[in-house]
Amino acid sequence: MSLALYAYAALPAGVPVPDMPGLEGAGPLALVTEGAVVALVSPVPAAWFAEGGLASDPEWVSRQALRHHAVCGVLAGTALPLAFGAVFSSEAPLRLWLAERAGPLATALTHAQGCAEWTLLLREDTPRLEAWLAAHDTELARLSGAAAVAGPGTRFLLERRLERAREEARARHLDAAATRLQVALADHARALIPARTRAGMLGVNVLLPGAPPPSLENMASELDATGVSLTLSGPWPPYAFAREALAHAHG
Amino acid sequence: MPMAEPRGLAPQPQAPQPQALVPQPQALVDVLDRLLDTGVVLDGQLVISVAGVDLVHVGLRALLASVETAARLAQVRPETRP
Repeated sequence: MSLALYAYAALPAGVPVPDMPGLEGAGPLALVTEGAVVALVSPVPAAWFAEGGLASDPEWVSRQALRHHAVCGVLAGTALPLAFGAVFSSEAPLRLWLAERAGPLATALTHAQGCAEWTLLLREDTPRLEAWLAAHDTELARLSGAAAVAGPGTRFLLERRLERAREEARARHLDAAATRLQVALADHARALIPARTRAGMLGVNVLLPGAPPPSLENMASELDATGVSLTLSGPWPPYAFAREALAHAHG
Repeated sequence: MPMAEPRGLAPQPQAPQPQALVPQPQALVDVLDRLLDTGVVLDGQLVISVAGVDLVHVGLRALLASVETAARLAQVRPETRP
């Protein structure tokens, strides 16, 4: 059976191997050191990740992803977690991969020490946000006032404009809230990565040395009054930060 | 990479009044969304998608549907045993 090395995370030198199992069915966790950067790995059958292997089974992937997450969770504040499915055919290509990214990995590891990743997302309650904008946006008020007293043809056209203006006002409001969020976090954060969900929700992934600042509570209340809620998720191992760091660390 | 919407494993009731900014429980979908990035990367090269689907776009939904089905089947199975 041909073995490959499954990589969980990058670590700084000197961190002991966590005393825990890795992926289900994998060999014991081990370290591969390349200069100042270390990879936490375990030997796995190469066939798992071949075309049509177990990695094509959603149930298996879901279970193993949670094991990966458990390993990264134990290394919280120390490691740079990798995405699920980083496999190396042997130690040599892993060493090469680490060596090619030595500088950016070392920098990212320094930034991540003692930090956790938090995600803040802005969720709009569309009817409430539209009601708030109708009461506070002068252009919307002007258009809707004009439409109310216009004849049918003009009203139709004004309502089309109003619809577009409403969309634009919503987007402006959410953009401004996202910017405000980034500004509020800038002084506390080691790194800020703007986020956007599949549905287009705006937010930010932030690498913080402590809990999110209490000032966010006030911002959440103020935004809520406009029909936008702020949701917080964390603490996470710095997955988004690691992804961003590696995306700019060409190999 | 776009992120999944935050949501719990069970439907979350909508709060009518402003809530304090407390971290949401980490749901399976959030964990998977963060971990399943592009697929299997062999020696630094993307080789195949994880779970045979394009996770960056619609695959996560298919994956979760499948996980939920598996969970449901696991619950049902003991009752069907003789």
